[in-house]
Amino acid sequence: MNRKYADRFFQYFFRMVSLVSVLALGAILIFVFAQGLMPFVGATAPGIRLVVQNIGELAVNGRVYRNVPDSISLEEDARFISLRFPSGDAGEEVVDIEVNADERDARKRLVFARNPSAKVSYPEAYVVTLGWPGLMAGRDRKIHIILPEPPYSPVEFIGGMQWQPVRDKVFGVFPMIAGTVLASLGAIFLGVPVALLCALFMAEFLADRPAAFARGAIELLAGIPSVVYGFFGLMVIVPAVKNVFGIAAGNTLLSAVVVLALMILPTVITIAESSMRAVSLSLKEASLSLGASKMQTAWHITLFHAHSGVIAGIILGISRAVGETMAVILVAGNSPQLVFSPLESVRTLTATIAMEMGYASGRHSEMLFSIGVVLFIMILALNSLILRLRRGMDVV
Amino acid sequence: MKKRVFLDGLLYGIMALSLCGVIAVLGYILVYIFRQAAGSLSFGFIFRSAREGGILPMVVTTLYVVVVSIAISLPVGIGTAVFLTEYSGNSSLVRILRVAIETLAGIPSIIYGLFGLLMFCRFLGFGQSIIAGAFTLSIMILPVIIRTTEEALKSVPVSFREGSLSLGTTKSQTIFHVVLPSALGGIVTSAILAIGRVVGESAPVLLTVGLSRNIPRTVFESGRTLTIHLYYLTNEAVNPDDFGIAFATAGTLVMVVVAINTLTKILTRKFKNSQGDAS
Repeated sequence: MNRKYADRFFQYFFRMVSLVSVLALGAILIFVFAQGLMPFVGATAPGIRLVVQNIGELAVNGRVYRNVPDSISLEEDARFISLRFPSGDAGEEVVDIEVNADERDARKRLVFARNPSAKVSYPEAYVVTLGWPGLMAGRDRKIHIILPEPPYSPVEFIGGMQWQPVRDKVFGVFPMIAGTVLASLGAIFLGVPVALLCALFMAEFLADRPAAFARGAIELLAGIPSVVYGFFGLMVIVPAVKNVFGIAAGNTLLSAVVVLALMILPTVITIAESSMRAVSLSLKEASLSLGASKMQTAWHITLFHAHSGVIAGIILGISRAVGETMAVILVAGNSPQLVFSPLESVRTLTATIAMEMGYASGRHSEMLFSIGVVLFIMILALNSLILRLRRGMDVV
Repeated sequence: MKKRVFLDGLLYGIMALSLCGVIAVLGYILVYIFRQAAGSLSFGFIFRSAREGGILPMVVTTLYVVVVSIAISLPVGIGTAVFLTEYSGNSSLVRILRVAIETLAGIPSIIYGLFGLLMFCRFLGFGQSIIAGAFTLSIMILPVIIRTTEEALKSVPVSFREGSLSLGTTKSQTIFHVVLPSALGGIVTSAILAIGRVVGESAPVLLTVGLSRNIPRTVFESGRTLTIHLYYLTNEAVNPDDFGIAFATAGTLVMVVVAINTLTKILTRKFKNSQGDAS
């Protein structure tokens, strides 16, 4: 009797375990999308925040802080900011600011009542800094007034040409999208012809032993870590591009294309070859019996009947190239600009995420997740294409 | 006719040349890295601390990440493969499961990194640590383990299961005592393939494990894996000596990859032979 329960238990156990994959995928979708859509939905903070440096005692809008906290949040609808703190010998610094909430230009939103005793500067967008010379050198007293950033427009995000995440807080990713697309397409144009020639040769002309050797080599090529490809590209391909074209720096779109083409070779070759091997022998025999040569049969029969597998391989190659990160960072140069020639430095979506996540904070960090969402949507579209092709293959 | 023969020969030549070219590129990469690394790559290099120009902390961190992520992923992956081969009919759950696994396999590693950073580092509060990275990577290698194990389970002959069931065992006993042991070779292969993925992965590791150069004592500390060390040396360091270390690190990584490839080849062959004998 016990055994029966054990059996039932294991049945449910395996079913539960298998749900982990589904849950993981769901969690990935929810978390990345939720974080990535945040900048387009809400403002960065409900109201104005103050960050205070080297000031011991401060009164804000009548409220006195003896131990000034790291950050002071004002009420959402605060119409004015009045700052008072003791300075020097029984003196007092006074700043009165009117908040003009309807003003769209962040720089003009704060109106100083009279000329403030402080030096006013605008270190980054949405930040106004008031500075007074310190009692000691290097101990300048500062109050940073941080205005909330309004929701970012998705159109400006996708179509924007400028990526100035820290100073101007402008987040336009169009150059990166273009960079990703160009690098991937370039890699496909360079890599796919070679890959198809190899696959057809391995499937149709090579004897078993050399074919097994070639397959082993291609598996090894697939196993080399992407960082090693990037390193190899930096050491060999980048200097080669520099010397051949006589340009100042070899970190260019072309270098990225060459490295990516190398990296997608194994993917395309493996899938194309296996779908070519699956073409039924009777089709080839029919072609040969009609007097076609072996080469004609290979090109007209095998390649034609394997086309859906070949296309699936190419699409998988594209999605590999789109998602590749470390190899591209090392060779592409990474300037966030729109490229007009293959000899310019380029930055991809993935490179932006990996390079800037280390120091990004606030909306900048959220925007990196938004880039992840863009990438995710591109990959999901490619994946669904592959799934559809696979289904088509099963039917045939 | 002559023109045909000539054209066929030309095409044959082009195809042979492109395959030889691809293999030559592989050979060039391997030879180039090993020749440059030859000066500094040694046992001492692998077992010296970072301050003395070695990579011991990176080796230790990589091992930690590999062990923890395999320990998490292997049971789940095997369980899922067992469910897919032994229990599933053609229910909607199975269809959803298959799509989920396909999709997981296609997600680029940097997105796993973003997810891991959000979920394990921030939401669950692990911070940048080995455990956060291992959790992230364990999801990433799940499709590899599931697919390979599933192949192995499928290749266990049905007669084995029938023989066991006819002796009066229950289904779960058959799975644990007959099916899984017969598929052991394939399961080990899947684990080795997954180890290869984990060792070579870099983008998600950079986001979740971090850059700390110390030898980690527990899995809750940050560390630096071999791949990240190589990235850091080439991209951010300025010291000219670093390139020697970078080559040696790249050489170490390639050696690991070659070893893993050879091991899976040997195992697959052995596994196929033993299957052949049994059935």
